[in-house]
Amino acid sequence: MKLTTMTQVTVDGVMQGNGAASDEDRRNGFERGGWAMGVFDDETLAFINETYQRADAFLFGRRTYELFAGYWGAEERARAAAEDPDSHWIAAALNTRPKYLASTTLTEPRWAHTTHLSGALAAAVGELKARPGGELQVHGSGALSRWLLENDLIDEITLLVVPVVLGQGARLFPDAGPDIALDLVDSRADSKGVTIQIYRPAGRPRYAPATAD
Amino acid sequence: MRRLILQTGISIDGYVAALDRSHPWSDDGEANEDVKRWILDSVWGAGAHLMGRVTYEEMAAVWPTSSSEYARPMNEIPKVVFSKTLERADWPETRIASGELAEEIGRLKREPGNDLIAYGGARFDQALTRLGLVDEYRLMIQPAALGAGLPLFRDLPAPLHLELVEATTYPNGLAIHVYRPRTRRAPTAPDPRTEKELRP
Repeated sequence: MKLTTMTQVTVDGVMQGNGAASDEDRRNGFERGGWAMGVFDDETLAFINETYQRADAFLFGRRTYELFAGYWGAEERARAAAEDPDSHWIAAALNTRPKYLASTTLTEPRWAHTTHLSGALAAAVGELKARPGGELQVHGSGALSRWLLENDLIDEITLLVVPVVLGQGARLFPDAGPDIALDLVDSRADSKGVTIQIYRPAGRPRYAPATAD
Repeated sequence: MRRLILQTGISIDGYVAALDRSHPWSDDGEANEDVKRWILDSVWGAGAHLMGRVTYEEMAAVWPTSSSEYARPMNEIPKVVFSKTLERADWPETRIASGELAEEIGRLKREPGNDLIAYGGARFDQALTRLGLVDEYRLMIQPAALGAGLPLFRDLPAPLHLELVEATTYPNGLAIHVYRPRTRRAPTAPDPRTEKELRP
């Protein structure tokens, strides 16, 4: 499976608190949550729905897993998706496809079809990636995404760039992370000012010395 | 009043350059005629080029003797270098602004002429945003993550909401996004269906 990420980020690269600041966020001093609420147009929403629908499996970090389990895994939502999957693409995908959880603290996940990845994470992810075909998707999951970037395990990065500079919060790309050259494979701008860019990592960038610009 | 435009290359992780000021992209849209034309159109449209001292010194060492297509607009259009220490600026058409940044920019905006374009460096850019002086961002988003470096935005007192006015991508992977600050927040009542679909 190829490992793909889909992340809502601000113009300054922040991914934390797109839906809202959680209690955990606020305890850590993050107060500018909710910046991605209501910002996507219908085409972007359809694109997000289609992305979930084509996933073969999902890989989560602990925080996003708990958030998603509480929301998308809620009984009434799971039941509605089971009865009418075409009207509930995201819930149908998340409740029925295999989910893998990378966490050292939450080791007995209760959302159906979840497997906790124990032991060396790089080996476990490598084993999933080695399976033929399909797509292993990571949504949200900041700490996990940063770790995957640092370990060069991501095959494709989809950014949904929301037109705000947040000035606070955890960013998708790690501080003191690797430098990565990227190929831009697709992009578009939506009618509400969100841009979608899809990149594939392409090795190390080549540097020119500082010059006048 | 004329506007202040901030034009800069930026990595997808938000840095205008690595810590040593190098960066893995060309400044001139090399190998892509459309990018080159976009930059030239933009630069020729400036009423004045604005920059911090280090950027000024780098440019002043190159453009006066350069035969690049960019040299003419850089040499012929007036320049303002913001520095409290620089005593002379020998690059023709340059003056030194040594006063408080917001006041100096305010004065420049009230002068007649084409829009002002600021090019950096990073600390100059950060201060312009922090003080709310930028009317338009022309971001040349490079297909690379730097991992560490000099960020375009730093220490914002509040979120800055933007309007996307132009987004173009080029075969070399560059994305040029033009944003303008919103004068007030976008309508806060989100489409209820959007909320439902996208939570959390």
